[in-house]
Amino acid sequence: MSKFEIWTEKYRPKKLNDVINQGHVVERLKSFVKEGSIPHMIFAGPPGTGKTCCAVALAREFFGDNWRSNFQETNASDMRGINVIRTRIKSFSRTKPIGALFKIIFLDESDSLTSDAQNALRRLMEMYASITRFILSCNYSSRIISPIQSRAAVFRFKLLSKEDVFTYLKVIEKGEKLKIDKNAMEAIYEISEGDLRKATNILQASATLNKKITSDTIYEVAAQAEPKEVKKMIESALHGKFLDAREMLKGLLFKRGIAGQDIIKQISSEIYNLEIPEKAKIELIEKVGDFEYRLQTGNDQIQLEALLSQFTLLKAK
Amino acid sequence: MLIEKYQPKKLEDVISQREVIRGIEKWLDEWKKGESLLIYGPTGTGKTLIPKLIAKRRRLNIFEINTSEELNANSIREILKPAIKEKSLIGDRLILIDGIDGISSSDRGGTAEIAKMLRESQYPIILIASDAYNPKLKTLRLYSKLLKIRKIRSDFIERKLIKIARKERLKINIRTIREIARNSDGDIRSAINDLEIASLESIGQREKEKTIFDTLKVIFKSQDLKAVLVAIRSCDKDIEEIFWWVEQNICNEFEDPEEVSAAFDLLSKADIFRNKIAETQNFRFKKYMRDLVAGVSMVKKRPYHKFVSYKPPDRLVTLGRTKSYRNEMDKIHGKLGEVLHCSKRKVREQMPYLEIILGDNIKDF
Repeated sequence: MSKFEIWTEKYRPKKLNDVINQGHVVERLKSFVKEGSIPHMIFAGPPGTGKTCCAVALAREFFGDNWRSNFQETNASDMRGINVIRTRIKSFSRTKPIGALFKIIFLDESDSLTSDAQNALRRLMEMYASITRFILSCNYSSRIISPIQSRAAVFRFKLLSKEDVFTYLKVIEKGEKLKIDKNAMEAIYEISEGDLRKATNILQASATLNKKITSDTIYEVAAQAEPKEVKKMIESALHGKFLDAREMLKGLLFKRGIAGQDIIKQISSEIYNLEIPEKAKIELIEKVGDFEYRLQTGNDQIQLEALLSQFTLLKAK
Repeated sequence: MLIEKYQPKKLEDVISQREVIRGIEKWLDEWKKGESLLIYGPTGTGKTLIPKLIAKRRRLNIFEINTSEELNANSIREILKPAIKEKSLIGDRLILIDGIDGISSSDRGGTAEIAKMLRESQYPIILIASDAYNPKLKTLRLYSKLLKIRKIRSDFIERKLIKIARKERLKINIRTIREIARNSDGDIRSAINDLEIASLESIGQREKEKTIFDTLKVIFKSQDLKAVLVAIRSCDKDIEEIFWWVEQNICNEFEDPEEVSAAFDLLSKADIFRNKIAETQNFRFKKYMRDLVAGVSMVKKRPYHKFVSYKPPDRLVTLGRTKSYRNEMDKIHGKLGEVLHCSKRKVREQMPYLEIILGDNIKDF
């Protein structure tokens, strides 16, 4: 595995100063390093804008060589139950830092923690505040319960602009001796929607095919990568073949293991490409929104089936 | 109690068992001193009742002892001796010893004493047992003619139950009666008791448990919301399970897309409550979940008069079949996540690109 490099890691900014265009956040983080003290923090912002980078870079600069032993990274979305907080997180919270006054626990995707889990977490934040600092990353800070918000400094990460993405891509272009033409840059930006993780992955996937990267290569890779099943599934439903759509859905959920939230995201972006009247698109968008809302509490399979059955109605009309 | 009210008062009321009646009468007619009759067979088939009814018709006095009393040698002698000897002033008599195979081993010498009485008796003695080949009865068998009584056929029982249900105006459906008859295993006594209990329950808005297929049939075919709710409540499966059965079969039943989407919309809403129950442990939400599932019955424009063979939910099958694959992928996603500083979910999202980037190297994870 070591022989293989994934560019998202290889080109991950090591220093706070290297983080792309989150100046307002970086300046404050640097002052924490200077003062030798950091508060609990919430990093809120869209995916691929540097939240994890900032946390890791902060740890490196704050702890120096010891950073790995004082920095614990946990993905909340992989274990969102209260039990993880009560066991894993708790046991790490109470261990003493090594060669430092405190250690940092970075909880990625904290907004997927249940409110019970967040309440348990809040107790840990109080109890072990003397030796542990928490950084909670999330897409929306509103999904973090207010007692935690009030105990933490909230940092908002901006969506990256086209220029930001280009700047970053050029660093990789130089480092990997690639040739990326202007249209390819545009294509990457368009597909990644400012998500640097995604942008980098698209670039690397394209580079495995050809060192000279054109927009054609980018679109080819993107087409290969975007699960076509979602589109096919919607089309089946539109043609009134609900049972086929249901089977495809089950394939995506149970075989591919894709989360319902991610499927519905794709459905919503696919709607504008459908060959149906504009008015119908708006109707569908409303439905998709409704079911995405229900999906927050509901079961992936049931909610998406219910949504797909709405698509079959268009055919009937 | 129905069982007392509908116990046959005369031989004509006894259902089936003609052979046994004839057998007993013949034996009585030909009876000679020293031979007893051993009637054996399953419970609730008339072993005790039939001899009594025969005695009634023949105006024989019944002298009955049963094993609820102490039956050791002494007590048997005490009880039986006068009965077999003494000439009755009123007329002839028939001696019945019921539950003879239930004679306890603590009743020392009991069977031997009975055997002795059998030989001496001036009157016919009928022994009644459920199993004639019980070793305890070895001696008695030597002096007895054996007569087997059979289970009552379930269609006879069913007819009898229907007759009773009509007379009593019981609120019970024919399907339940048929089920009771079939489950009775030829025991009419238990069948009548069951009938009584079932009818009491249906008065209290409860029927005997329905199978999931019966419940689905009501949900999909009926347009009576109340009946649907009863069918769900009396199903032998929990609403959680019924939920997935309905999900599986919506498309088998409904053909109109509007019906299908309306049904799924209800399930989607029921699902919200379902998850609220799991999250908050507030079981009050179960009512709403149940009522919304019941609402599926209301989406049809008109009932489909077709036979649908309802299928069990394939969800668990699918989950089971893909489990090892998913576990393996999950492990890979987890390891990649550690390296790439992101969650499994983000890895899954990026997997198509990572697959291209890593190619065969993915096996190293």
